Amino acid sequence: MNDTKAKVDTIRLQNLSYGHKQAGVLMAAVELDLFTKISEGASTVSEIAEALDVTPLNAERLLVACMGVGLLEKQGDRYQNAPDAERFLVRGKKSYAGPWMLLQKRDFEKWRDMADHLRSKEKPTILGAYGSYTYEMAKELHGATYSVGLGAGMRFARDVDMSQRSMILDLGGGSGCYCIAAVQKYPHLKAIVFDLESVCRVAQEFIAQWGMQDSISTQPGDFTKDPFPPGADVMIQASNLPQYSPERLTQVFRKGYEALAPGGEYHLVGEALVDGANGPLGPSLWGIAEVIYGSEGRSHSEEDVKGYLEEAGFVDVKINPFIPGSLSRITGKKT
Amino acid sequence: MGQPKTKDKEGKKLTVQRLNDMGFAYKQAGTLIAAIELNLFTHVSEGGAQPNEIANKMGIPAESVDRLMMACAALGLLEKGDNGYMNAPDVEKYLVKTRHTYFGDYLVYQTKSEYDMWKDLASLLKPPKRTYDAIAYDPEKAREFTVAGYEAAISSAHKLAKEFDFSRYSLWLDLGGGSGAFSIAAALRHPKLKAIVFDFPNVVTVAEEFIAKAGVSDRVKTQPGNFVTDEFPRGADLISYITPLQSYEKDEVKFLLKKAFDAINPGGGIIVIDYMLNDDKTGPLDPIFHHLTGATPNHPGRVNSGAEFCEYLGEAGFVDMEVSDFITNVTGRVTAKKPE
Repeated sequence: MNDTKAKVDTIRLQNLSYGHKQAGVLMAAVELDLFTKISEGASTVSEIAEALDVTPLNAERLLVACMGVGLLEKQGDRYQNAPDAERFLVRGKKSYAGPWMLLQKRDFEKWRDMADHLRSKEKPTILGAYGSYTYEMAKELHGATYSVGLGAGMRFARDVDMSQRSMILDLGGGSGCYCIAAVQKYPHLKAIVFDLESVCRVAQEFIAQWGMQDSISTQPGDFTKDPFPPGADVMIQASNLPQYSPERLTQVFRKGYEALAPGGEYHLVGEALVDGANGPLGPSLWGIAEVIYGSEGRSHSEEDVKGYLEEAGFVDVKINPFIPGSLSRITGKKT
Repeated sequence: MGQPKTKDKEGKKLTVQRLNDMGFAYKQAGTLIAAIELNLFTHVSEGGAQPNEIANKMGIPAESVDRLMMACAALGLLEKGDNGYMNAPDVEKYLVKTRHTYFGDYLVYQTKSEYDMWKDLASLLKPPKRTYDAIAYDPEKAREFTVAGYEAAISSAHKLAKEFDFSRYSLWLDLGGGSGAFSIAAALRHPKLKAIVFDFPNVVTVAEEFIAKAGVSDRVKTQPGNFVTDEFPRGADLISYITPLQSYEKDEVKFLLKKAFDAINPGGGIIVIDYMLNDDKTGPLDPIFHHLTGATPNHPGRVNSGAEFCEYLGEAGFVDMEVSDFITNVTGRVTAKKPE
């Protein structure tokens, strides 16, 4: 603790306990399409009330709350979107992430009762609630992850030179966004999205939207227990890291190592803790969320993942910069 | 609008991170409240700084305590010391039960007591006005409404399939198509017709079941959407509003008809079926009553006469309007054409 005794008060703890209110304000603003209307030109309380079809009193309440959490800025009596709200929360823009934001509502109530979930002595299962995903659930989830996943997939395709590679196997490939972005950049590539049957159906719809059926196929399966198709020289496992235990990850990595073509590479793109940093927030909260889903999963640090990859036989294991505060890319090579 | 901005004022690349954290902020509250309820900070203060020791004291699985402590550390509630975790100064002062400054019970109470309502702030700020709005958000209501709608509509649907010459059209977009009853009946009678049922996501999920049951899934598709705010799929040569327009005001109806006009192919047709007043507005009684409910706060909308529909359709650009009875004394039918 510090020697200089800063005055301790309750403000920080109260603000943390208001987290649900912050999230609620953001979601309400997205649902009412506030940012789109402002982007289209509504800027005073009365213009915004009219555009949103809410009473001026409620418009003013929402605007004040959005200012409070930093979603809006104000010049005189005119409101404008904060730069990130303008980029990601305006409907019709390619970078629109509204569906992803609203997906966060799914688990809202469950976090109110986190203490009860933590007290539970029920034995976790490998996939937890993910195992019983129906097509509708998968469609909702990946319809929403697609909007942010495609951005990450494009970053991946920029960072990783796949010009000499021939086939990607994307483990838990979800909407197929990593494969879509990779094939877009490297049209010679073939790719397989490996995921649960219900998810593969959703991936096929996205792949068809891009007209990439000839390059990207899907293979239904559970990568924690089913064999991998041979022949891939790039394996990607993205955005599912905290769903698994260390043992399960090592097993999957070993299976990946065996199935990879010699000289191939494995990319774990995951919500990992940064060693020595007590975070980032997203990855650390995902670990505890797995209590709700009933899986074996937990948060892992970048160094942890590096260790699992090495244990599975990979060489040249590296932690690469990817999306700060959210995703790390940890890679290993097969000799 | 100029170039899209991808950098912030300091020239740093704009990412979705801050918005993400804000959208997830209820998890921060949830974690804090759980830690207080489980007395985590009191146990840490008493010196059990390792997850295993604390798990024993709390009587809950060590793995769960480990996850909780990791999350608390990320939130800055716990700090890592030489002998494991310790409480941050404000946590030590206010969230350790034995201290007279403890206010954990207050935080738990105020957070949990009004937690749920924040999830649906949008509907508090903008109370649903129409049955349709409630349906848009509530899957159970949508199912009830759609199943009931199918039962109510299917015989009228067969009537329309018989009376209207669908064979002249290849792709029909039915806006607010609900259970899909009308598309199903038409597709069964006209083996070449394809149709798209456009309605709220919660509604088309149910429609798909009816479509599959009727065995016409290969030709009748659904598209989730809100016909007021969302774009229409292109390429249809027939478009329709079968009974949703009665819930909208005059200007909204004009807007929706124009939107339909813009969406269909030149030479395409439109069908409007709705409660319909006679042209001098003296009846029939059913539509008159419905028109009156439009004055109550939860049921806005108005019932139009056939002549009024023709006027709106003409304004939108349609030609060759024809008005006829559909269900006598209840609904009327107006058809028109988009010029080639």
